[in-house]
Amino acid sequence: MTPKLDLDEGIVLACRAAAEQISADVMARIDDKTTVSVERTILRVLGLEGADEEGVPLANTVVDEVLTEGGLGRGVAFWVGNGLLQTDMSLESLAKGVADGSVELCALPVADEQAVHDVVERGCRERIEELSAALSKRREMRERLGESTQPLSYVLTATGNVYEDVVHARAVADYGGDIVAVIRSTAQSLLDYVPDGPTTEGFGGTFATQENFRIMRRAIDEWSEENGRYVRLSSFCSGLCMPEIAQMGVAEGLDNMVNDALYGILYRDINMIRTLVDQRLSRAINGYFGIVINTGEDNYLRTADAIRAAPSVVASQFINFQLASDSGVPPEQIAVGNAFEIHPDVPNGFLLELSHAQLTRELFPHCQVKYMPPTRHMNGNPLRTHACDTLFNLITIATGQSIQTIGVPTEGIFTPHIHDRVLALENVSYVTTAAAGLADEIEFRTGGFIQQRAQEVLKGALQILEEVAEEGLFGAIGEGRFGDVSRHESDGRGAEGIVSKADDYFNPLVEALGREPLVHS
Amino acid sequence: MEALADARRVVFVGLAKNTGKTVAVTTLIGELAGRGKSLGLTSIGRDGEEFDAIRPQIRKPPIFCPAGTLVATTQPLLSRSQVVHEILVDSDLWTPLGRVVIARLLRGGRCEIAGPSSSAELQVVTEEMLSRGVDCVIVDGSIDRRAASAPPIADAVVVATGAVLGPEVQDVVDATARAFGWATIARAEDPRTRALAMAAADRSLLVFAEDVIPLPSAFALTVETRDLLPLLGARAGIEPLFLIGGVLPESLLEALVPLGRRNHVRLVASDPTKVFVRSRTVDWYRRRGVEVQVLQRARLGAVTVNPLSPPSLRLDSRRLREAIGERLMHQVPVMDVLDPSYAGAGVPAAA
Amino acid sequence: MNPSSTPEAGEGVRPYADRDDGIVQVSFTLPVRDSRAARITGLEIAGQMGLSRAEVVHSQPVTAGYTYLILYGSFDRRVDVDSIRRDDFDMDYMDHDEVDAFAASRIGRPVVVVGASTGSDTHSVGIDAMLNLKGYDGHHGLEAYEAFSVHNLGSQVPNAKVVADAIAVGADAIVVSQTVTQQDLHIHNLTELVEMVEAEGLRRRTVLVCGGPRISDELAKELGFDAGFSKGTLPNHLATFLVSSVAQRSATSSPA
Repeated sequence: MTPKLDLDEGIVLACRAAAEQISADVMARIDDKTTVSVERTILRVLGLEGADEEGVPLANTVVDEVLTEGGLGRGVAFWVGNGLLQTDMSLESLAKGVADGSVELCALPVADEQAVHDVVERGCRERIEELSAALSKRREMRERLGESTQPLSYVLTATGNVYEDVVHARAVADYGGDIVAVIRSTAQSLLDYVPDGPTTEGFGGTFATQENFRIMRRAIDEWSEENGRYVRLSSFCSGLCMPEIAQMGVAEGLDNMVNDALYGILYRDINMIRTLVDQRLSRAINGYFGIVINTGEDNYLRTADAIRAAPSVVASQFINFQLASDSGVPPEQIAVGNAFEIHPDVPNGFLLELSHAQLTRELFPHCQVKYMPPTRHMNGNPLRTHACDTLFNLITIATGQSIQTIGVPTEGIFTPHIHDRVLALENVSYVTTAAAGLADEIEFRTGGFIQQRAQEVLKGALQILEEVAEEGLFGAIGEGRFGDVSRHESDGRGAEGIVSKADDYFNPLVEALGREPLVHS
Repeated sequence: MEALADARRVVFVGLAKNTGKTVAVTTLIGELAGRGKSLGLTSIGRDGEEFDAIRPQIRKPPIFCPAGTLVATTQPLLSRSQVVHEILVDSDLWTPLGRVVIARLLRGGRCEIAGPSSSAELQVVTEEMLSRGVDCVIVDGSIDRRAASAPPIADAVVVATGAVLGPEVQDVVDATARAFGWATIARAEDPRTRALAMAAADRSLLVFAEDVIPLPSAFALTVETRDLLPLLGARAGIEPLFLIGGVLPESLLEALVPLGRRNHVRLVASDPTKVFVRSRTVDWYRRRGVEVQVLQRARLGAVTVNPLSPPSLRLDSRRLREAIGERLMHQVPVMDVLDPSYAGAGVPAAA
Repeated sequence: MNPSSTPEAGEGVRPYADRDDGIVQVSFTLPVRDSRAARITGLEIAGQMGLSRAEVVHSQPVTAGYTYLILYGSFDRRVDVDSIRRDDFDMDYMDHDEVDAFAASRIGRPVVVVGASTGSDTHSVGIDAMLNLKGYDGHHGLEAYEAFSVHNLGSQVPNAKVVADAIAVGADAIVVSQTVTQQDLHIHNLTELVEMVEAEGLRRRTVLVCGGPRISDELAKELGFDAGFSKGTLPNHLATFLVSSVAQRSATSSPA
């Protein structure tokens, strides 16, 4: 891609350097912490699924037990490994024993530490090999069937009933949709457990459960085989169960995941340490297993003014990118985000959007940049939204975005109906066909409006990054620098699930993921 | 069955539309009137059967009322019913459908009933009708408004449920049990708890055996696990008892669950309408060592079922009734007023 | 005689396209394969909706077994506007300065407002538009008024917290917004708030207002709120209602 914005390379490098410093500081501050969700993820990787008759996942029961007994600082893997050695039970029976009170996990005699580590490490390794093998098969299928050329259209469905989602997903695929993302039920992000089994009732979306992932994956694979084009499946690694959902996504063959570092802190009031510890493991899992992660900077524009907040979006792209990199996600799997959210009445709003979109593209040439449609200023008139979406589609193709979330005409009214997505996909297809070669044909006037705007936003981003590097990310969030939302280190949901690691803390998963992946995507 | 016999204030609650609440109300009116009882009739808020905000005038299904019935409904609805009536009280209570009046029907006829929308106002209207000598006031309650079934307002609650809540008998039983979990909340029996709670009135207290600790106002509404730990931690081994003056929200129960695993905790609210549990059930918390009780129970008088769900689903009426009865441990009658086996709500003839 | 076809007063109205012709557009998806059967079924549905001379102008498959249809038809009956108009149908709103002046003379202290987007609703846009300084579409929110002291609790606020904060700050009014309406979630959330306010004994002295894209004044009142505000509401509309209601309450509750 030819650069068109005449950006000062020195400023770009300075932005990266500041982001590296910010990320290093975050990593140092969270390094001695683990969380209940991180610990549950280890159990899930080891193969613990299922829930008791009241829907409490066994992973939660076991981790809560160790937490209450004060042993979580050593890592749940140690206690479970010890339990396996001492009782000669399977992992599942051991967990059920904890649930019904017949096993007191932390009161068992303690075996030799090395023997405990060996048994869990072996289990972990076997499981990672299994997952890697499944991943190879999926990659093979993706290559055999082939995908659309970029931009890939990313389409949200959300009926609340996973079986209806299947019908909606087929309609999406029929009209050229490339990535199906099932929106989660509202407030799932605040549940400190992952619901179990297939669900047919949700609010504003469908619960992300392992069984629901499985049902959607099967249906979309069927469509892909029937029609000879690979369609991707995406969900949301966010909220209080980030790493567990990452693990479930890997197990069920998802291709993409929304996985932002700051979203939960800003918009779900989740404690920042909790989120950052959780996101690190979730991203390590996604990175290792070849899943593309979408960050969520675009969301700031829904709460802050799109023109004024543009530098903070870019600053956050640098930070999110760096945090993901430092968690082990390769650049081509990082989809930094941006959005088309300037009020439609702003003079030259289209030029500003063009400038912002091109800027993201140029700053992250190796990333699968994801571009979001207008939502904030969309109203009850679907035709006005449809017109704005057309301009959005035009910028998408003109700036060579990798992934575009499609804009749907009824965006401003309700969760779109099945035919609304069809109309939206037809619009995308019309614009991308008609303007297919546009990006190669246009360049921007030197020193003109578009170049100047991009340079100005980049300078603003550098200023923010340098200030954030100075005061640290936590302080910056406290000052409301991102999305005009302010949060503090000691506040927020899920803080009770953070535990300091003891000196003998044991986590075989993190160690295993730190090695070279068995398969590259 | 005894429940409906001596009740002076019966509230009907439908768990969803098409659960046959209106049919049940009509049936009870017929039975009571047939036994010579004088009746008052009103409703609260949205009835859950039909909602059409644009043309609210078509929404309330008219109910047949015998001559002599007192009704509390709005002036415009009353005029439109064309039933001959005399207005006894012109209240200052406004609803979206107009001003509420209390009238005596001089002839029998079909009338749309739309009473006040707050439970405090409902109580005023109900008392007024009772003071004018009716034997029983029937309240056509709304889908969600549990406030209408508060003990100060209702002597007995009749719940209408049916096949519309799920495709299988078991689904209907589960949904029904969830929806009136409040009815199963036990009464706090020990005299000391009751005496303390009465004395505390609207304030909240934490009691450890002999120690009585006053809690800040709004404590129950905002407290989190981390605030509870220091409060309860020091007293290991003694069962803590919370007396909650106002609302007992689910967040308080959730916050207590991690503690309840080790040490049984008891909470007492004044009546079930103060207990807000939606995502789980009171039973679920009880099994985790967090037990809720009330000073004054709400009385579930009966359950009516409609085995039919439009357009075509029909469950077996008898199986449905038996399954719900079993879940309720056969403590209340479960009936299908349209089933051939139905023999009346057990209302004894007037003395 | 009216030179256009606009109906005479009292005659009632119907939809207007080119003239007084009753023309209506409807669109929907049928769970039927794209076929003549789907189109005829669409016409039948239009007929049962009360549309005459209906035509299918567009149909296309949505996915296997589903068809999207666009139809035009005419609604031949008329609705008399006067018959459905009620006293509180259209309120005359005060502007920002008028609200402040009214509050200063009639209430004499700031009206304390607690606002939130409640329950699991993650949307804060509606409540922010009404309450925040920045406001909406160039109209400042209530924070900019001298007449109000505003506590905006943000989104995903449990009803219990709204009630607790209302008690803590001695709120005159509670304003909540609800955006997600699937499965009647908003009804449950709103009803729970009314019940909690009643259970805490605050209902009489608190003005309760809700708003959101799918909330009407009628629905709000049915649920036990004092008013409901829908799309198109500007902060001064809400402000007018709040100061009027609080002034009225303090007038009626002062010792007789």
